[in-house]
Amino acid sequence: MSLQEYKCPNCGGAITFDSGTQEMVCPYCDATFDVAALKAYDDQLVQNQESEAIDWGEGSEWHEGEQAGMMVYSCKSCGGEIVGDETLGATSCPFCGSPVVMMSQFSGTLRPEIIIPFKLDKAAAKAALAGHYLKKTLLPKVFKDENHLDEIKGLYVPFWLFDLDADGYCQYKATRTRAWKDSNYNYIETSTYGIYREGSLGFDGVPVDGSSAMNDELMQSIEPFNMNDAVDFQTAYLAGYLANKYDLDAEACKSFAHERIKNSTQDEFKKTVVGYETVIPESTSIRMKQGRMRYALLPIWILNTSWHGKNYIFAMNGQTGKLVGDLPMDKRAFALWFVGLFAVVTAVLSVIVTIAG
Amino acid sequence: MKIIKQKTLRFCLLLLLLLALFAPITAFAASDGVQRFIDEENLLTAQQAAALDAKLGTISDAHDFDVAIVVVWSLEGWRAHELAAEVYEQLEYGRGADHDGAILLLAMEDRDFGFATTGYGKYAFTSVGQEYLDTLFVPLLSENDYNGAFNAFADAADDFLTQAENGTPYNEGNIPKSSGQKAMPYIISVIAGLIVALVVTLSMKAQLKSVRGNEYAAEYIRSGSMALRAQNDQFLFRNVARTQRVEKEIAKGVASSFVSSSGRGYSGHSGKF
Repeated sequence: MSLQEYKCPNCGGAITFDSGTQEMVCPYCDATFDVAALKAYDDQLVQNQESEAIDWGEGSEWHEGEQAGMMVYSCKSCGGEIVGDETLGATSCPFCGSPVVMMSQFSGTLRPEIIIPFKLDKAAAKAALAGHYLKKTLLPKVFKDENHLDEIKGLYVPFWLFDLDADGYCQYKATRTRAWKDSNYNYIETSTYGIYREGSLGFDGVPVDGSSAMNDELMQSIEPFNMNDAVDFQTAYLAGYLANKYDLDAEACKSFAHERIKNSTQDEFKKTVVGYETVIPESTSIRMKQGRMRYALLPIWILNTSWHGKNYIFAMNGQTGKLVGDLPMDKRAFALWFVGLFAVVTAVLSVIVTIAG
Repeated sequence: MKIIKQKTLRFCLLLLLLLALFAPITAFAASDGVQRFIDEENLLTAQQAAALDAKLGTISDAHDFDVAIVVVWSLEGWRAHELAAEVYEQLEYGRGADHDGAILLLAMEDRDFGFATTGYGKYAFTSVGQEYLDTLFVPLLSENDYNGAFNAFADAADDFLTQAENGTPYNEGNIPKSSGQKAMPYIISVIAGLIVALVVTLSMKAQLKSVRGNEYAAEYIRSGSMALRAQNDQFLFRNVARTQRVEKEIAKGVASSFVSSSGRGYSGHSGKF
């Protein structure tokens, strides 16, 4: 398996992709390189897939089965061993810091079709996290003061993008009411209708993450991604970031994409049922057709922090800057706010009642 | 009108006949010889009835305003407060040129009560005041505590008349509140305080959670791709629910002005107990 490091043609230093300029940048001599210009070079590297890689022969110290799911690479810059799991696609050498790309993870049938390059850098991720802490009244103050980021990593997460047309029908029972009265009686008339809607609706780029290691809810929370920024995949974009290849194939992710599309199709059909007080779905049939799926790498900043022995993980959409992550609650502040609000509101209302009464 | 008069006459003759039959039990005329408590159904003991009649006499003399209570079996098709007015006139209650006075009539057959007042009573017993009046004795009637209810009515009438003589008849703004009514605004304040505190603190707590699954794909709908091949709204059936309004109004005891068969103006209301 091949290991690719992008070297500066000018000084030989390791170059990385810069999200600000959207170019390859050498941090040593400040030279910049167009990504497209490296495509030919990249193509050449793709052909050179086999060779140096795993040296399981030195595994005499490994116990049986311990190597399962593990890959060992040698850094081209310093010769240090890089150990990773079988999904590791890009990282930086822990010894010399050189960004490296495991070419074999993104070649042949494993090659992603498109990639959305990082638009926001590490500083933007830190700033977004600081903003995330603001206006959170019940966030423990010491969490902001004491906690420090254990890790920030820019990660290309493997996603399956589903382009599908949903086709089907929905039936509803709906009611309209009319009220009137005469001198003796009040009347309420309820008219019941059977509603039928049949049609189709198209969806483009519904994402489902293909990495079992990633928290699905975390990934769904930072959506949406704008596919207008997607470009043809180049390994050069991975330089300076981490990347994983998928370990959940399209077939495994398909059912969730179908579920999301089905739910939204039902929603859109229901929006066309107007003029009724109640609308209750009775039966639904939604089928998927004209499907296409694409393998994509999407940019995500992962920020890890720990506080009082518990890990807190935040994720930021590397394209849009949307950051999510659950925060701890100050239970004492919650109790104080509750008691304080209760006392103030009750006291104010009581005074008003006393004055008015 | 003629039919009403005949009906009234027939009823009053029947009433007087019954009064004559039960005279030893129910007639406890006050010192002026006017009997203000007439109990055809023997709801009270003789002693209770005598005491009540004396009390009504004392109140009537004190305010120069007749206060009477009559118990019958059936309304004979009348509305309770209208029958009360007819009985009031047939028994010649009322003081002065305006026949000042008030009467409470009970019909035990369907547990109806009617209140009617005329002359000065229309000033002393306002519409709002009559609603308050009901709260003072109707709950006791509902518990079959007739002696308690009649005495409460008599005491209330005394209080209403005193209040009116002071120039402030019970009306919107000066209705006395029960301890429960006094406490209610404060109980509501406490509940409102709890709700506000809960809503605000829970919304603060919700700010801390931002990781939520997304089971929809609305953001990825292809623009303009919605195509409805068929849409049909078919009427299936219709239901009409009807609820009676009249019964509700009677149950609430809403006071109204009305005219008796003789043409005299009254204020009164009916209700159930």
